[in-house]
Amino acid sequence: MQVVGVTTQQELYIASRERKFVINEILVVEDQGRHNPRVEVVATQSFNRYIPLTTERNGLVDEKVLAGLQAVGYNVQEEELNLARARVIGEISTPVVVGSKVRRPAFSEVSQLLVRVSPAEGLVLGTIRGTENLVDELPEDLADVLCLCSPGGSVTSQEGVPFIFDYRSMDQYPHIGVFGGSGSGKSFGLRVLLEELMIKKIPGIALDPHYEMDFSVPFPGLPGQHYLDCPDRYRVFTVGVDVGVNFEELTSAELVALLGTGEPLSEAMAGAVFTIHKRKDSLQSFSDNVKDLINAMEDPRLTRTEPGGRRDPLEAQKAERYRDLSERYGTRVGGAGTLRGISWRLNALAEQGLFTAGTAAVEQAVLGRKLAIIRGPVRLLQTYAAYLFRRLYHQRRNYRDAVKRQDQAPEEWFPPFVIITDEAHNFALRGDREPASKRIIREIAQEGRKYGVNLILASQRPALLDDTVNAQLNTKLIFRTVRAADIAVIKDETDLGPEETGRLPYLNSGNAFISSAITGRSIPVRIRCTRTASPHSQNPFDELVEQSRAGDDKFRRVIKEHLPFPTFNAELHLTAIQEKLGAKISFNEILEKMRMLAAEGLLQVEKTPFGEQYILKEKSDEH
Amino acid sequence: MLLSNPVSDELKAINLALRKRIYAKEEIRERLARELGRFCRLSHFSQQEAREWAGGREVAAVDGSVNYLGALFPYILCIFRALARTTGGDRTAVTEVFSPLLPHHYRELTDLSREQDLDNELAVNIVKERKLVAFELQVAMETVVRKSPRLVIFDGGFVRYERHAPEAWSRYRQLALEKEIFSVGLIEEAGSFGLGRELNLAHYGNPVFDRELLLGLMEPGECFLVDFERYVKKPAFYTAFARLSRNPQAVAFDFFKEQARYASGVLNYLYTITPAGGRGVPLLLDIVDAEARISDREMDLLLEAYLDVEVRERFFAANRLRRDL
Ligand SMILES: Nc1ncnc2c1ncn2[C@@H]1O[C@H](COP(=O)(O)OP(=O)(O)OP(=O)(O)O)[C@@H](O)[C@H]1O
Ligand SMILES: [Mg+2]
Repeated sequence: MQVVGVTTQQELYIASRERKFVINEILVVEDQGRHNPRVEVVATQSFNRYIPLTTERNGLVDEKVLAGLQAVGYNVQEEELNLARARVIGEISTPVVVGSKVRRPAFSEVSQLLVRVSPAEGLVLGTIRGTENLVDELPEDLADVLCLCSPGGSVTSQEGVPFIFDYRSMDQYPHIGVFGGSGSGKSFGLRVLLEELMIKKIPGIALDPHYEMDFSVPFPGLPGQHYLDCPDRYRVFTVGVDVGVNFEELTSAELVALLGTGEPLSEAMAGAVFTIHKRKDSLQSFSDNVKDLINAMEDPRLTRTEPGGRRDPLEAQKAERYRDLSERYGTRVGGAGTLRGISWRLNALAEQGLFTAGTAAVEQAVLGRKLAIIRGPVRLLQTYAAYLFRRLYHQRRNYRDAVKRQDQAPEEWFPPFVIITDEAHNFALRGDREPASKRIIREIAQEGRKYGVNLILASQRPALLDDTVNAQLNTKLIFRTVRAADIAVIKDETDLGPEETGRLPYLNSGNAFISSAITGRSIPVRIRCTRTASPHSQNPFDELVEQSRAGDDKFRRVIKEHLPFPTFNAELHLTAIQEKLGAKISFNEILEKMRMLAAEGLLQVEKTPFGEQYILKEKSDEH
Repeated sequence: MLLSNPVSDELKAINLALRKRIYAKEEIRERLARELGRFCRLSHFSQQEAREWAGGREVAAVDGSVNYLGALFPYILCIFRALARTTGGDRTAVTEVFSPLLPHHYRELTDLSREQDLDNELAVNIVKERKLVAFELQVAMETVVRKSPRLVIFDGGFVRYERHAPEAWSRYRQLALEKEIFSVGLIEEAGSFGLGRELNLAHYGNPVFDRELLLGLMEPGECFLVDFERYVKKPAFYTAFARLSRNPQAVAFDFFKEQARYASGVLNYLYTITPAGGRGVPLLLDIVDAEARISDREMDLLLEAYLDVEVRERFFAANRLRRDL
């Protein structure tokens, strides 16, 4: 290998006849004057001399031409020339000498560039692409620290130098973004991050709208020593079941946001909530106030005290309350319809159990350095999460601020933690709307660093994510991205060069560029195989086949007991079959299925004087 | 746009005159076959046939190129490159810089212009041609000595070598004949070889160029072999014509007279290694051509690497602009 062509202080070309270059591999240029700089291959090319000729001027090179040349010693292979464009890593002030020899490095020559912290001190996320040939030289603590897997799911051993993320530096460069199109490997990558957080016992809160964050099953085919058995490192919560809102602690704005789950409140409704809701209102007191106000508005007589006076003191008291409510709020809350809307929504939330449990259990988990996984219906989860994040963030902030002020009676300790969410653009959508979720995410993005609160935000659409938030993500994992708008944002927000952004649309699932202020240059990484699997990470089409096969099996088992099955008085069997199947299957559906089984050769039709009847096929090999 | 009458009339007249020069294909074929030689069909060699024809030897091709910088004497710089390579991958190359800015080159030029009474710029052209030919022969010679190939294909006719480097050429010729190395010079732009003259074709005293006659005259894979005892160009050479691809323009081939009887075998081989859809040049020659040429970009890279900006700007930049115009 040799430096050819023109070089600059940043870039050079390397040519080789014998060896194909590997994208992203690191090579050493033997140029003493510049202290043998390391370079990274950013583009590779191989060409056969006669192929450009074919396309440019010669038409197709026919077989006979090659045969005629081969007969006199022409070797097609020999015409191949491999060319690499390489970028100098670090800085040199003068271009390397053209003609310099280039060679593959020993691991010790590039270890500083590739590995900044040991696996014990960082998050082991995958292998660095282009380092495959260094794997034999790895020191013990870097060898076999992870497994890889193919998109098909088969597990292979670690091929390459591990990429270890120095998470401690997040106190300088906080927050991680995980971007990529559908199926590019974001969720898989998030799982890897979560596993690593658990291994390091870094507390976190992860939202799980798809009920897939479960770490109880080993990844299929994973060698035993790589499995992460961590039942005590995470806890799963479901909104409305074991986690919810402490109504008394809600601000009016939060209440408006919660009530707006699904569909935002109208201005009149929001206004009414702000008017009626008081700090420390309980669910009971707030909802009574709303209901009574509705009554008073619908029936003004209720507010009057009859001339001559009511005898019943209870009645009088009630009238008093109605009057009081309508005097205080009557003119400021719109009509009874508006209030009924509020009441209805409040009930809906209460029915989902949102107000039955508070956040204490989650706080407990975080205090215990666990990962808290929050499940729930997507929309509710979103509004709820905004509330939860704010609460926990403020606890952490109050504690830190108190420590800083050296308060006499410091707040109770609350640990630093990480917030993890997929579909993050739903929380902080770029644009003018300022929902509660966006305010809190943005606040943490901007100030979380001071308090050790970090975000890990994944999104298919970086272009839809709020700019301020985007700009604060100091580390970005960029998976396959096809949309031009998203690539444009990535160009602006990362140090990915044109070679890298040009490759984004073609990355395989699980391959990413990690662009980070911490590592200083973008590094191509193949994300490792997860140590655990989601219990239901089944291909939906496999699932389809499997389910219907299970259904068919059951049907066959049941129908077998009813053979021979006469079509002419099938009603006799119908109820029994329905019962055994546990499904309301119609007579026609049964016949349809029988016909299919007959077509598959499992049943046989027999003619009888009364009509047809199905019997078991002789010597059929039922399986 | 309406052209004034005199212009359009004259254009029409030219068109008419030229139309008359387009000879009936059948007539020309018939006369050529009757008076000068014969048309034959070429055939593709099978791999086995090619092996037998080559007798275990390789085939070589030779090409050269010149790149210039500057236009105004003496701010001129030429980079020569000549390359011979064999099918086995053996390469011999020469790269040289020539510039009147270097004292010994300057002397070489002034001697020549004094001797032949030429102005400097013309002398540059002659020196250029001489050097290129000399380098090509040098690499051809080395290859022949070292590799003794079956065939050497030159890019261009033999006349160039004979005119500009008679001694080296005769040495090459002798060696090639001794070692039974077939040599062929391929002329893509078949200018004039005297076919027209031999057929007494002329128009108002304008000679008729062979390229006019040859265009579309033959079918793909057809050749025209002049009778061995005739010569159309120079007594020492034997010239044949062939259409090696679908490109209608025929190509001319110079052989040593002594090797004339091998011409059809060589042509069959060349036909075999010429892409049918290409422009009618054997692939090996195209490959060597591509390797020998210094592309504009490579040239820029070289100059950027070795000439200081100031030198480039002061002595060559303005000239280069002019060259581009
Ligand atoms: N690091 C990896 N190694 C091997 N295969 C992977 C890797 N990452 C992802 N895959 C494969 O790609 C599939 C899709 O990945 P994943 O579910 O993470 O995509 P996604 O980016 O989250 O897509 P979506 O945006 O649609 O949710 C996985 O099921 C897995 O088969
Ligand atoms: Mg996903």
